[in-house]
Amino acid sequence: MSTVTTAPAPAKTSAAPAHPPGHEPVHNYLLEPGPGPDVKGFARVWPTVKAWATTVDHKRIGVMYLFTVSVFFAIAGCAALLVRAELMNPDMDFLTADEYNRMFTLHGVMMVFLFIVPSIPASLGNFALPIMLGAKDVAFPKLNLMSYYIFLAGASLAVYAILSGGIDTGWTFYTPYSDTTNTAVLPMTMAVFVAGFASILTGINFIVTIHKMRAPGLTWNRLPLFIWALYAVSIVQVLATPVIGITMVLLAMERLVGIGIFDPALGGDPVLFQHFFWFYSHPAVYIMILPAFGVISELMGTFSRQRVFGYRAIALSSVAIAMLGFLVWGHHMFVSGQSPLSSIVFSVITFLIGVPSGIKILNWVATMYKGSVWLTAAMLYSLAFIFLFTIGGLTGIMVGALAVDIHLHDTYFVVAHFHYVMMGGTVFAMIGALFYWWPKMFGRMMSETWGRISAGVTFFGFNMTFFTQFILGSQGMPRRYFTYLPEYHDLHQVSTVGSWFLGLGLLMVLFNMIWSLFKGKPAPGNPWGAATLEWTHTTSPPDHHNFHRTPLVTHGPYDYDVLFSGDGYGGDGAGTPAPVPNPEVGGPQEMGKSVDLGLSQPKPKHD
Amino acid sequence: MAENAHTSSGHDDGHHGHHIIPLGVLLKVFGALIFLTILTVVLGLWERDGTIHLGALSVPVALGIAGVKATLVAMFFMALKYDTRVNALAFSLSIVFLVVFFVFTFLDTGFRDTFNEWPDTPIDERELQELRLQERNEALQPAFEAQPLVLPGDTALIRTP
Ligand code: HEM
Ligand SMILES: [Cu+2]
Repeated sequence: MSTVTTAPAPAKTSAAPAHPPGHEPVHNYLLEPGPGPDVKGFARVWPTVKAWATTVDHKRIGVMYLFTVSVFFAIAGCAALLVRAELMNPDMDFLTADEYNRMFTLHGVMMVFLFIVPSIPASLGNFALPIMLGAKDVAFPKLNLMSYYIFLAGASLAVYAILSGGIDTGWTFYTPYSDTTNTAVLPMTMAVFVAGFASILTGINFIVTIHKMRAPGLTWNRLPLFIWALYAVSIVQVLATPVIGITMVLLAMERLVGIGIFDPALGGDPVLFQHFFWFYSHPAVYIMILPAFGVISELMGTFSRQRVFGYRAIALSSVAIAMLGFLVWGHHMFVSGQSPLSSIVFSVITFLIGVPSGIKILNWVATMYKGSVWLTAAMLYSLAFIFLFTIGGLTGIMVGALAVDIHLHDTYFVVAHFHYVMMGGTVFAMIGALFYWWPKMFGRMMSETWGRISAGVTFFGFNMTFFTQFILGSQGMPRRYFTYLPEYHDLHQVSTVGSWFLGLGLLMVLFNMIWSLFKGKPAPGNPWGAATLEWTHTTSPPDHHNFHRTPLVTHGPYDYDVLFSGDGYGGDGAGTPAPVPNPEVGGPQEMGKSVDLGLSQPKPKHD
Repeated sequence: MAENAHTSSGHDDGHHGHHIIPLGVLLKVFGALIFLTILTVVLGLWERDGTIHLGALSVPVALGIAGVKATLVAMFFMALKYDTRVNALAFSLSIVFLVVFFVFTFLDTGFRDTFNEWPDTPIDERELQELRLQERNEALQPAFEAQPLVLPGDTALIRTP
């Protein structure tokens, strides 16, 4: 439905929204373009595949990205379970030391470069960003599709690298070892190089779209915080990713033709590799976490029924993090032999970067304060996020302290730290976001009950797996070893059992998704009563071209009261009230009837 | 900002076609670039045969000249000067990041090995040890008194021409 109809506001009783003829929301983007309803059976397969493979629809590209990164998440997750299983006992159980090294490298490289970097921006960002801006598509739709294929090409190279023997350097590819090991360093570095371009293209696309394609009335101060986060991320992607590309090329050149960049025998400097690598990879950790911040801001607002506290502070702290994130990379190199002067400088700046992160946490908690918190599965995941990310961030400050890090570097403490931020942060936020946007993406509700149970199981399993690793690390357990001293045995066993709970919880999410596609309740246009454009102005799932008319934005993204009362300004200059959006109408399946899904949403106050 | 989401093709707003840069300006810039290139080479040659001595400034000067050249190319040949300010901002931002990368990396490579590693014995113990060492050296001092280099018995071994 559209709030800019010039006709008088439709009375709430006549639920059928006034769509222009021929534009009823049966033009579901999942089905159209594609084979018509008359084509049946296997004859559908090829036209469907063709329509999807050549699509420039940002929504379809988002869905394809979602599918692809989920596959890599599953593969890398299985690798992690194997690594954990090997660590159940200190002896060599079923992986040799060599296989163990390849296994954790496979896990790390895949999780970082093929899953978490593209995860939220490329899948949910691609899907939601243009709709949230009131645009028909991203600024460069074909570039968007190209980025997906480039990503696939990079991913294929990575798969080839794994099949041709794997690589055992760890995801960081540190020289001098990566210069000399005879595993598949070349194909893997090329995979990273190629996949980087996909990231850059997505970033450019988002920046231009946000600058140029906002609907009328959608000022910077009315941008949803998810958009602000994606904006910050895109800047980092465009500025930082070329550096990892250069690094990988230099490493490959060094291996191939022996140019002396990193090899001291040729006049190079192995520590220089770490500078190159972390100049990308620390900003890259913000590529991973900033979209999650954006997601949490959306969820906190919607499910607390309150304007997000400190909107401006959250928006600008994303940008501050994106900038400051470029000045701290040396905190990964405290024991690398870099000069003490730079260690001190990097340590100090690392402390600064805790500030904007702290601002965000404070604001999210304050958003819930005195709100009507609605504990949906999505909200439970974002509460888990706040809890886990706080631990992850604070332990980041601990390892950012120069003296402390000398003890903790390369121990399981660091492993636990970054899993708390990447898994407990980004992955939990992404699952929350999936629960939130799934009805919009596929027009079906996921099971709330099973969603809540899975939130509990993953939260429990996660802490069991990784909190133990904080203790192990502080006791001196080094990372990247297939074996350990007997005194670490108990905690390692607890951690391994925890990983099974974690895997179980994630499987529950997966089954919930698949189940919902076939059996889930049809979703109304705005099941959560959110106030951003993708909920108020489109059907679930949206049309191929998102909107029938360009929306006119007259209020902020979290003005929930306006959603139910009208804001007294219809946008026609005559002071007529805006039509009241009816959050329950819009799904193609519910045309003309209001649905009660039993998701007890508190009624707005003024009723 | 686009007036509505349906306009997707460019050339709608904020973009007033291409500014045609006069040939004279292009040639002048070209001249400047050639001059700066020659300057770099000449400075390099002078430095090598010792005509001038730049020392630590050598790299910054070379980078500075290269920077000026890059700026000229970006401003005139890439027409950033006549484009919207945002593009210039984006361009300079990327330069800033390059500078950041260089500066912080030099902060490492320029100051390696400036760290005195202290032993983990407490200072008073170390002072005590130092004192003992000194006393011992003093006690041994007489044994190290200057001795004649050639002892009488050795004279037979030394043939004097
Ligand atoms: C409050 C902000 C943060 C601070 C102060 C911080 C600080 C640090 C420090 C000092 C290290 C190096 C520890 C060592 O190797 O001895 C580290 C490692 C790491 N951090 Fe963070 N961090 C923060 C947030 C994050 C976030 C948000 C992510 C990712 C989403 C992240 C991912 C990582 C990773 C992957 C490593 C380990 C890299 C490796 O050696 O393999 N950190 N962090
Ligand atoms: Cu870092």
